[in-house]
Formats: sequence, C-alpha cells, structure tokens
Amino acid sequence: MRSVWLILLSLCTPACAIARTNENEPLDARALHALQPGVSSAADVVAALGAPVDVVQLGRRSAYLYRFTSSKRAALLLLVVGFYNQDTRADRAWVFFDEQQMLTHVGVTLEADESEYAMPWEDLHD
Amino acid sequence: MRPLLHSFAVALTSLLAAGCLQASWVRESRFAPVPRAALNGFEAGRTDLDDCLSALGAPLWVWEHAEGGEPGAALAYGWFDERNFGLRASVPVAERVSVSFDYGQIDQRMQGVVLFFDEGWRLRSWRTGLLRDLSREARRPPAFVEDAALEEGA
Repeated sequence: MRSVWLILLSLCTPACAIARTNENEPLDARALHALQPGVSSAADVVAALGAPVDVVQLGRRSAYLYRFTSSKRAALLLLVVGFYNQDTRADRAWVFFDEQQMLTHVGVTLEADESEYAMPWEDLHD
Repeated sequence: MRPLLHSFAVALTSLLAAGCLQASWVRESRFAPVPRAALNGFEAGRTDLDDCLSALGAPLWVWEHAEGGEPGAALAYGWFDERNFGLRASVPVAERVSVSFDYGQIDQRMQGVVLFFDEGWRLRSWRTGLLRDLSREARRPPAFVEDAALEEGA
C-alpha cells in the first residue's frame, strides 16, 4: 500500500514554471524628469528617450508614447489540474506637443517593476 | 486488495488523461486600477490635463476626439483583473486533426475611464465602464476633417 501511495505522490509531484516577458526598454526616469514643458522640443525628447512606440496626431498638435511592459507568468501543473497567473505592469510616458513641436505636458506612470510571480489565489497590489 | 486496485486505477487514469484533459484556474491582471477618489476630485471645465496626469499618471491610449464640431482629445485609462476556472478537453479525431473544447477562455473585458478634453486641454467630461465600449463610441472623425474645418473657419 505504501508503495502505491509513493507512486501516486511522485506522479502528483508539482511541475512549475515561471516566465518573464519584457517589451521595449525600461524608461529612464531621470531623463523623463529632465523634460521641461515650454522648454524642451520634440527633438530634445527624442534625443533623450529615443524613438517613441506611438505617435498620435491631435489636430495640429501631437503626442508621443513611450512604453515598457513587463509580464510575469507562473504556472503550477498537477497532472490534470493547472494553476496559471499572469501579471502585467508597464512604464508609460505620454509627452504632448503644441503646433510648434514644443513640449506642453508630460504624463508618467512607472510601475513595470511591480509585476509579480504569483498563484491565482494570491491578491497582488492590494 | 480492492482499494489498492482502485488507487492504481485512479492514478493510471489521471496519468493517461493528463494529455487531453486539463482543469485550470487562471488569473490575469493588467495594470493598476484608476483610483476612484481621484476621479471624484475632477471638475468639468476646471480640471485641466496637468491635473489629470498628476492624479492618474500616463494613460494607455490617446486619440483625437471632436465634440460638437470642437476639436479635442480623449485619454483612456484601463485595467484588468480576472480569475477564471476552466476545463479543457482535447480529443484527437483523425491523423493530424484534433478537436478542442475550451471553457476556460479568459474574459478580455478591460474596465476603464475615458477623459475628454477640449482644445485648451480643459476637461470636458469623463465616462467609466468597459473600455472597449467607451473607446468605440468615443472614436470620432479623423484629424484632417477637423483640421480642414478649422482652416475654413479661420
């Protein structure tokens, strides 16, 4: 009987996996904070941050998006039962320009490093 | 002897079923929820873009939005946190062909808020709900239409 339970236990021994996916390069917080509305131009922004991932035309104005995304996945597989969790957080920066391509507004969210490996029953970011 | 056989049968069945039957508990979370308290502090006509960016950070999406012939912009914030239980069965029915029934599809609905601004970056209004629906109804004619109208009026 003991050997059967040992076999059962070994069959149910959990297989687990973790994976991390990053998209783009992390945003440089210092470079972002150095940008000055009314002073920095679109050329200054591109020189400091590189090419944006998106450019949006807003009438005669425009906005550039910089984004770094971090996804962390964890999985626990027990024969026919699987537990999976994926947590995605992103660094984002939107920079807004006027008609003369001068910086008017900057919006920044830096939370990519808050993504976590977890199981589905865990409460993250509470 | 019978319990022993029973245990063995359960173990064997589980082992053999692992390739085609899968029960799952899946959770996916994306981005942080927008703080409701920040939205409560907004006031249409008074709150401007700087106030909103300070309170909410960077949006997920920005697009041009005209309202009543007036040019403007819309900023969308969204988040997603879903837990799902599912059962997936996959049965081979012919060579190189299989049939899958997946009841564990994650609901991709993203909650969100869309802020609408006028040309001077004053907050006109905001709406909360499913971001997919909000963005669909908020999308307006492309930039060149409004731009042409502005030039005619000038």
